[in-house]
Amino acid sequence: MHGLINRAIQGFAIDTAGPDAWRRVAREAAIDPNQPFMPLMVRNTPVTHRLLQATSRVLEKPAPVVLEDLGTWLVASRGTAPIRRLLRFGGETFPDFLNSLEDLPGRARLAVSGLHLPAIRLCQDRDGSYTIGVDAPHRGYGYVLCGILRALADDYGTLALLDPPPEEPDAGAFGAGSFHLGLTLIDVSFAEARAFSLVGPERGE
Amino acid sequence: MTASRQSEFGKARPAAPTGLAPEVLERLMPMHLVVAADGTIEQAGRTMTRLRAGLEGQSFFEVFDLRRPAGACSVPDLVAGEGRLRLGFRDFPRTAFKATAVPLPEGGGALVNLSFGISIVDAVRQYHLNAGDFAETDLAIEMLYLVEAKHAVMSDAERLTAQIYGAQQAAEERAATDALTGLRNRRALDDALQTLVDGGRPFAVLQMDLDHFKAVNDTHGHAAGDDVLLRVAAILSGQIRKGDIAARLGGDEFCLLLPGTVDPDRLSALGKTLIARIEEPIRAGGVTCHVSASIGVAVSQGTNADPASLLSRADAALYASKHAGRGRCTFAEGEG
Repeated sequence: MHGLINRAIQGFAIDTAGPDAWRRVAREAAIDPNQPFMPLMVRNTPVTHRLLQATSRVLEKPAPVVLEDLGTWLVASRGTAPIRRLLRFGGETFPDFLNSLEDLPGRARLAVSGLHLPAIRLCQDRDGSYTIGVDAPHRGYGYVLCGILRALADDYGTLALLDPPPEEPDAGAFGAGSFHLGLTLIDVSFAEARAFSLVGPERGE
Repeated sequence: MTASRQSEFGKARPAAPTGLAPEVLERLMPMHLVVAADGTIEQAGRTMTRLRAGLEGQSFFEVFDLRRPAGACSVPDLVAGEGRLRLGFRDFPRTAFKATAVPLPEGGGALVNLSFGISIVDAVRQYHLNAGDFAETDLAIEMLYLVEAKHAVMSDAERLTAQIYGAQQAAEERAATDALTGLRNRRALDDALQTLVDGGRPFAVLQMDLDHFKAVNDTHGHAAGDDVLLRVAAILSGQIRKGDIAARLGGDEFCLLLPGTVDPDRLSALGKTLIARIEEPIRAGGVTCHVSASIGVAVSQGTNADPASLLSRADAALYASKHAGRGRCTFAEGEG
């Protein structure tokens, strides 16, 4: 699993529950709490699974909730502002963004060449609602995407209803298997969108 | 026909001599200009109009400075050859463009399609452009996405590099430090001595051995011995100046390197002070210990110095101190 993913879990745990909670998570997952994850270093998938399970136990939240909160945090927290900006390049409006969703794994790989995300399929039903499919093998990505979409709908000022699948005890949030998420747009201009410009503030050299 | 033109996108306008309706041309190329045979801009795409209002009716050659082909000053010059242009606004901001000019089928004018090329990031910032200002097929947005992604990854990489550098410095610091006392270790002393010799400036080497230290270890245990070593290290650190080096070479052996200090009176005074401070009773783990120190000093005037011979001369002087009854400071014979 890519180092950025482990580091995102670490950042999320520290941001939402504090450094002490992170130390407990690290202890449960049998990793060194003082050693930050190297963003570009790929570690085994079991490390990521242990991390998620430990986070779920320490935060006392079911795994799907942890993953959804992680997705929301990726978009909405201050420390991950670059991710929110990169996602907003997906489209000028939330429907535009949804229509570019299938490009998301390609965009991620373009930004960080070793970052492989599962394929996403978007179907628009006859009544205008969407079904979003996330390919196997890691169901967890589906819940993260659910959190990302909730936070991005807010960012675009759109009111949308999301309908994640019920947690299947045998599949599990960390298990294999594909994932289907329903999404209905209620009001595209429900609130003012957060500002977004194509180029960020000038950086001091 | 310029008088009847409306600038709002989407409203019906008479077809330009390109053969395409202006709104169609605009959807394909929002940064196009139609230039009449006399050089007058007849039609400007909506993004060009965002960069400069009122382009239509002005002379193309007064608005733009042609860099390639150099000296082009007429419409036939623009379309000559393959019509590949490099140009920029004459007024500020002097945004640079790449462009292709093609001759129009009738009337001797030209259709010029512009693009920002590599100046796109500055242009988007300066003119507050958004996705709608680019053609759907233009890769500008993907390019800006990549610029953004590069910045994000680079700033992460910079932070990480700083972290790793800090960790490396700390590791080297530990590698050059005596774990018990925090003074430099033998490796660090050897490096510093070599640097001083290479520098060719005068300096002194002061070798020191504790007297009666073995008795402390034997009588009161190693913990008390460690306390004595820590106390001695503190005394050495307190007596040296910035730029001097204090090292523990192992056991109860210490060494000072004193750049620029070669005056025998000053060195002798320093030796006496050190011995006097070390001879003060030391409280170590509930007991009081008494030790002293023997010192040997060798001086280098900076020319033809050799690290090994300097150390062995200082060592010889140290043994002379021991033989002469300990608790004293002896100078090595000659100079190196």
